[in-house]
Amino acid sequence: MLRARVLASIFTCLCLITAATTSLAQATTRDDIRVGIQLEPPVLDPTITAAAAAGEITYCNVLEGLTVVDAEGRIAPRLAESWRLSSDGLTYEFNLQDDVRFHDGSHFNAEVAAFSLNRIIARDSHNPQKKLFEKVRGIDVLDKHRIAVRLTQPDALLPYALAQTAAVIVHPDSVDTNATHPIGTGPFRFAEWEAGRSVTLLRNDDYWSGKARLTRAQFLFMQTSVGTENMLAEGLVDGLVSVTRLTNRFMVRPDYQMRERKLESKLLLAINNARPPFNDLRVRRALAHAVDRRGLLDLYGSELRPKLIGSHFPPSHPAYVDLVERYPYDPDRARALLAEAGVKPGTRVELTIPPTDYGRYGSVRIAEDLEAVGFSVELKPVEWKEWMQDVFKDSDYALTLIMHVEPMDLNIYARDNYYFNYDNAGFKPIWDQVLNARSEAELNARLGDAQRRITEDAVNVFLFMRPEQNLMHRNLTGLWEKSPIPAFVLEDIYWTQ
Amino acid sequence: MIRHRYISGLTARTVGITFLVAVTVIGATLLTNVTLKRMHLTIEAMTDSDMENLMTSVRLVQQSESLIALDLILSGADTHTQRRTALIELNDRIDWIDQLTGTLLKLPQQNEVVLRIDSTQKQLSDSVQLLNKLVRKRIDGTASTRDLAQIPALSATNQELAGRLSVMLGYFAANMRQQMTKRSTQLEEEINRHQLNLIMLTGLLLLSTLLAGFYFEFAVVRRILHVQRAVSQPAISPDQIRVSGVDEIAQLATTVGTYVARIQAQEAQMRKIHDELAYLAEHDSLTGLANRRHLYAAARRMIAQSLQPVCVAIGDIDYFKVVNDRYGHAAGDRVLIHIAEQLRNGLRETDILARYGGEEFALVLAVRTHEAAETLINDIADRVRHSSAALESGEQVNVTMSFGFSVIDASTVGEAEEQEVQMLLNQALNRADDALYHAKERGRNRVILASLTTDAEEAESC
Repeated sequence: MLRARVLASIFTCLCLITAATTSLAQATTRDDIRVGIQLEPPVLDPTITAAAAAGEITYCNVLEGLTVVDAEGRIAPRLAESWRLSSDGLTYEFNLQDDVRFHDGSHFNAEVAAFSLNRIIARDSHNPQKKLFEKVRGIDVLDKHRIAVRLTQPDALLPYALAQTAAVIVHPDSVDTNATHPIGTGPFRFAEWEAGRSVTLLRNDDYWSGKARLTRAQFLFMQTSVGTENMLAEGLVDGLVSVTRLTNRFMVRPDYQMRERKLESKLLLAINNARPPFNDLRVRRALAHAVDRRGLLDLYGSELRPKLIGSHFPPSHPAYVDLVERYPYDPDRARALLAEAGVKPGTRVELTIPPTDYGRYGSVRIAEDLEAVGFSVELKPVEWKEWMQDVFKDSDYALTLIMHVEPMDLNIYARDNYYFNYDNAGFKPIWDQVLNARSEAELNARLGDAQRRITEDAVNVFLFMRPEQNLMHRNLTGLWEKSPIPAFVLEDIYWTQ
Repeated sequence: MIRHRYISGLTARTVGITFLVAVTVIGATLLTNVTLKRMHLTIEAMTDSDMENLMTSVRLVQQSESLIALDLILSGADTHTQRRTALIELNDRIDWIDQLTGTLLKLPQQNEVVLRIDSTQKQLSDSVQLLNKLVRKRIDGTASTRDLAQIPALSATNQELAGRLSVMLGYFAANMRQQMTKRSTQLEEEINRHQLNLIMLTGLLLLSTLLAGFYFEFAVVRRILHVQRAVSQPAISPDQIRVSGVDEIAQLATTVGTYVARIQAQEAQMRKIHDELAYLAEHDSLTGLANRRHLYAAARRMIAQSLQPVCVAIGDIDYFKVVNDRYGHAAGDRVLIHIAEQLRNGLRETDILARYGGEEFALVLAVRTHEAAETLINDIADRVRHSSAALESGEQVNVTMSFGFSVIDASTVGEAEEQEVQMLLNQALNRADDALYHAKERGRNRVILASLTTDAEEAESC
């Protein structure tokens, strides 16, 4: 009896050891993700930079707004639990979520929300989407969890504006360090930024609205095309947040899959309207005629053909006006316009190229087209930080090839000191009409006027809409594909195998 | 003693064995854990760092080789677009190579190869930058003839540098592969070693189990069985119950032994009391001779068993009342004791003597013949006649005895019922009593054989 018991316990112990050993061999589903992103943002705070990459990494992951454009593309409550519009349409009252904390432990409340919004509308604000908040007169703190946003005119789009990447809520204590170490209320907390390589986020286990399924997310900066190819080939990334030249080629791999998104990214040959000879409308129009936009359509391979545009507006919008043929490809007409404007053949022009696929390969084609009409083009590849500083901030450039990814951003043409240096005296009244439109029909009509106006002024050469096809691992589920916000939201993503 | 017992006791040994087995099991688990952790680290190093470095270096080899092709394309380009595309790809690759080399430079173990790779890569980068400038000049149309001549030369240098880089990276990759093979061999050895350890530990476990089994067999089961056997024997000896050692079982055995001894002592005491009582029930307390009850039982046995004739005699002290009257009852008692001694001394070991009444004694003796019986009784009467009892006062008292006896032919009795034997005895006693009566009648101090018939012959002794 005693011996049997001793033997039984020894047997049990051996079984336990064996079980422990074999359990190690069992495979588990991954709970991390590595995403390739082309541009490294100069800072990680989307409230102070126009670089979309900051928002792509942090929006809804680290930083959250009062509202959100959700996975289905609908406006939904986020840090604001609900809101109410006054009968005169001039006051929005937001009820805020209770018991929400920032990653550093500080509390979210009405004071913090008011601070964030006041920061956007402040006179010295550098917020890239400040224009969306033009009608905001002021913000009142009603109590600990209620704020009121007072407007100068009714603005039905305010909840949409609050869902933008640049309207995320920041805390006064961490606002100064958010550029390098963003602290928000989101389901992921910032962990590391290895300059030139990656940004790592880790799951916030104390998130106020349930834990995310992924525990770790790494955004890898794909600075070179060859590097991207290498990383994709070896499976070192699980997906890319935007289309590249390689997407087409990698579609044949069984582990990758195309994922369509509802973004509105417009490729422009942006022109510094203030810099001679481009301060002359004829020269800008000459550029529009000189560029063979159809010749660019194979930039992403034969299967992913972009849609041409004739203005800064997506064809999917009901207010879209087809202006593609306003400046047909016509080198002779271009040359004539240049001659008329007194631009001598061989005039040197600098084309600044951001470190992206479209920049590297698109610029060669553009250069060829421009040289065909008499320009002597110098290609100037720059780092993204340099581009943000020299081109975007300082407007120190002549031409640049750039993708504008923000949805519904026609308002940038109404901005003063925007890097296009557009003489928008004629555009501003049109934009005012847009803002004051009383019906949807009127709004669309005015938006049509706005499109026509910038095309007539040939502010930039409008090239095409980027095909929104992203290469993603087949087993990844939960991507916010229907959201128009240029962001890679991690909270619903998980591995199915 | 208590301390010693604590150390070597059964509980202590059980705890010791359990501890040994537990330590072995825990040891095996810990060893497995440590080994697995170490293997995990090795595998992690292989996948995370070695594999990554190997892949990086292979990627680099590939990229540096493609640089050569790009240089060729660049120098052979006819159009500016071709040149620009080639330049862009060249720069893109150089950037990527730069980034990859950066990864290698971050390796903890920096060796000469990595440093040479780095310096060659830097040379190549510089050279490509120069080429960039010259090609741009050419595109812009500002290149001099010297510049134009320098392009193919630079291109050749680049090709040479890229080739050298490729060779060094190939060497680095080979080293990495070797390192991985080494790690893999190490891992294999580790696994083998652990397997051996596990086998040994399992063996140790089995051995401990067997030892524990043997220990319990010999130290517990057998000793308990020994006690059980000793206790269940018909004749228990407390010495046999004892088992060696000083543990709980030995204690138990000692306790059982003591208990058995105590029971046996009590049993002996009771038997002694019983014997005394039985003796008192069958003996006369004054003379120590058997009483009537004992006489009957012993006589019956003798009659039943004897192959010879059995003589039954009754003797009576002559004029005993006179002695009592003259000297008192105490003197009478002394005379009775004296007579009992004389009678006893005249008899054989197997003969039966009893006090039959006040001054009457009965004798049952196996004899050959009537004559032999008569001679024997006469001798006894004679002995009494010639002896005297000493009283307390110092006086000597002489008494005589009269005897009557009869003889039973016991050989015919065989296996008769006890009642028949008693009957025979009673008859014999009656006849002896009758004969005694005759002896008294005839003047006492004589022995008379009872006749089988009523007109019995008288035998007279002098």
